Parts: sequence; structure tokens; C-alpha cells
Amino acid sequence: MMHNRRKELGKSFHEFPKRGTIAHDIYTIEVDDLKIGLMINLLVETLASGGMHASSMVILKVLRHLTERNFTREEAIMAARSYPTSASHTGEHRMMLDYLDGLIVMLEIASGEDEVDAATVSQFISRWHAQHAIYGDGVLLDFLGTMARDQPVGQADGP
Amino acid sequence: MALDARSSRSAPTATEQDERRALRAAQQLLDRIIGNAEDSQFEQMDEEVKRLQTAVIHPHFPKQRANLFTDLARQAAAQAHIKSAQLFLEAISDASISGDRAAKQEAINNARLHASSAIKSGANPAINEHLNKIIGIIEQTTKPGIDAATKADAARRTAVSVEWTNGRPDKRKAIRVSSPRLGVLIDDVEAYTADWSMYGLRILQVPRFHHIGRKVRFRLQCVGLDEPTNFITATVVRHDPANQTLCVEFPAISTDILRIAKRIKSLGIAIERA
Repeated sequence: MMHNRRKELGKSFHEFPKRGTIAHDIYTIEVDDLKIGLMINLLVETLASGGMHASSMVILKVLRHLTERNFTREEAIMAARSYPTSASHTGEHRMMLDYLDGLIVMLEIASGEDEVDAATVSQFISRWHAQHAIYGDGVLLDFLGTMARDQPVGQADGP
Repeated sequence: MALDARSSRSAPTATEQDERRALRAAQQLLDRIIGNAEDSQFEQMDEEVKRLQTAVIHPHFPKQRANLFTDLARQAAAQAHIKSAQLFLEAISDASISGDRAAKQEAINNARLHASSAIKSGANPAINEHLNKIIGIIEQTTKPGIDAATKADAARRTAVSVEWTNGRPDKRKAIRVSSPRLGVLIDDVEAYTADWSMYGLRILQVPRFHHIGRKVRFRLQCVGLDEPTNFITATVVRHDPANQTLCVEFPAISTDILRIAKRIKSLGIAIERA
């Protein structure tokens, strides 16, 4: 999917897109999703090795912060490109942040790592991200890819 | 060596062929018994158990496997009858709440019939005694107009350990919250939680009997939430009819509970562990 989009834009995979272009927007969303995915991998590995201890909680809070920042950036892109279903996509962001906040609240009241089932937390976090990346961001990226088809490569067209 | 192995595999004797045929027929019967047990098709199931018992004494059937096949068939039948008896306990509870005496008596007879059939199929004979005690508790706790003190007294007098309906033991592993309590709208009544976690709830004052493994639907209400949540589905893992306590488990971490936890925290309400 990522490869096809880049082909449509006529750009090399390694070439950094100019700021303000649709290619840059696509790049931003893809890299942000990747960052969240890497952070989740780190969290899952930490949970698998030592359960829900202090370092897992730090990673979880960093993940929360990173996710909110990425969502804000994604929402700005949707507004600038007049994405037709931006309201429902933004609603999904709010809901995802609610889930993460609730998970932090519940895990914070645990006094010992043996009280948390690390496997179910890992599973929940992985699904939480994967579903949005595939069904939410996937559709947005396809929309941006279609918009970019008629645009001269590298031309700045927005804020 | 290889040649020997091939030759011994390639030519089954007539006896071996007969044995395989007999085994295949018994396996098919056992599959049908298990299928009918799952679908609660008791007449066909009992008929097929009899046929299997005849099939395993056939001279071609390998004798060392006969016990295994009959035991499996009897276990499947016993489980099916126990499940059915538990379902009739729900019917007794419903009839008792609504005051329909005829329906209640019919459900009691059916529950006893299935418990007897389960015992005939090899289930623990103690289930009959448990069944009678549970029926007693249901009757004493579901009669209209009985106050809470009388109910509690009845529950104390008849309190028994009901292993075969209580489900798996409490793991107490999850982080449980006792305060604030959540309102639970279940079976058209308003109950509340004894404690709750991301994985499940312990609900108090649920008058209706629910058998273990049943899926229940309910809505949660919490201080600070304008409206109850949408319907949530969970599985019954324990039920204590004496104390009218129901424990349910979510299939995965509940997003509704996470949203409620966030809301409680944002309102500055203290969360207390159970």
C-alpha cells in the first residue's frame, strides 16, 4: 500500500517530500503511525519481559503523549485537505485517547505487577493501534493519494 | 529396514480392516452423540449412546478401546443433562418471580428429570441434593413481598456450596474497584456492583438465576455519566443464588469500563480498590 502510493506520486521511496505538499502529509501520517507502532512494540516487549512495572508505565505515558501529538497533526492535515469524514475520524481519535487514559487510570491503582495481566494489556494496545492504522488512517492515506495524482510533484499546495 | 516398514504398512489383514471399520463406525456415533449433546437433542443422544454401547461389544471392536468410547459418550450425555438442568433453574427463577405456579412446578420437574439422567450417565449423585437446595434458595429469595432480612436469613439457613453451578473459582487477579459503585441495568432491574475491573464485574442484588457460561446483556450507569452506556455483553462466570450475586467476565479489556474510569478520574472522584 505504501509502495503504490509512492509510485502514484512519482517519487523515490528514499526522497524526502517538500513541506506543504500532499506527499509530505502522506509521509507525516505514515511516519507517525510507524512511531506509534514502534512504541507499542517496545511496550509489548517490556510487558513480556517484566510485567507491568514502573518502566512499562513510563512507556505507556510516553505513548499517550506521542499519540495525542500525532492525532493533532493528523487532524490539521484533514482540515487543510477538506477530508470528507474528518468528523468521524476525529471522534475516533478522541475515543482512542479515552481508552488509553482509562487504561492508565486502571493500571495506576495496581500496587504490584502481579495484579496486571500483561498479555491482555499487550493484546489490547496492539489491537487499539492496528485497527485505526488500517481502517482509519488507511482510508485517509488513500484519499490523499488520489488527491495527489493530478498534482505536479513537489508543488506546495497548502499551509 | 525401510522395505520392512513399507511391507508391514501396505497389507492390512482382514481382521485389521474389520477393526478399522468398527472403530470408524463407533467414532461416527460418538461424534453424533457429542453433536446432539451440544444441541440438547436428548432423545437422539440417549438412543445413540445405547447404539454405541452395543457397537463396542462387537467381536471386531478392539476391546482395549471400548471403555474409552463409552466413558466419552457418558460424559457428553451427563454434561448435556447438567446444562439442561441449569437452564431449567433459570425458568424456575423466572416463574417464581412472576408468580406462575404451574410453570414453576413444570420447570422444577424438568430440572429434576435432567439431574437424574445426568446421574444415570455417571455424574456425581450429589447434584440432586444441590439441585434441591438451589431450588429452595430460589423460591425463598424470589417470592414477591419478602423483605431483605428474611431473604438473608433464608440464604443463611440454606447456604450451601454449589460447585456444579458456581463456576470456576474467583481468581481475584484483576485490579478491582469497590468505590465508586456502578449502577447495572440488567433483566429490567437496577442492580449495582460490589466491585468492578477492566475484565469483569461482581453485581449485587440480581434476583434472576443465571447459569454459568450464559451471555448476559446490561447497561452501566455511573455518577458523572449523563446516560447509561450502550448494551454490553459479558459471560456469567459465577453465580451465588443465596446472596443474589452475579459475576460476569468481558471477552477482552472493556472499553466501556476504561471510558468510565477516565470519566471518574477527570471528575476528581477517588477510586478505591476492593
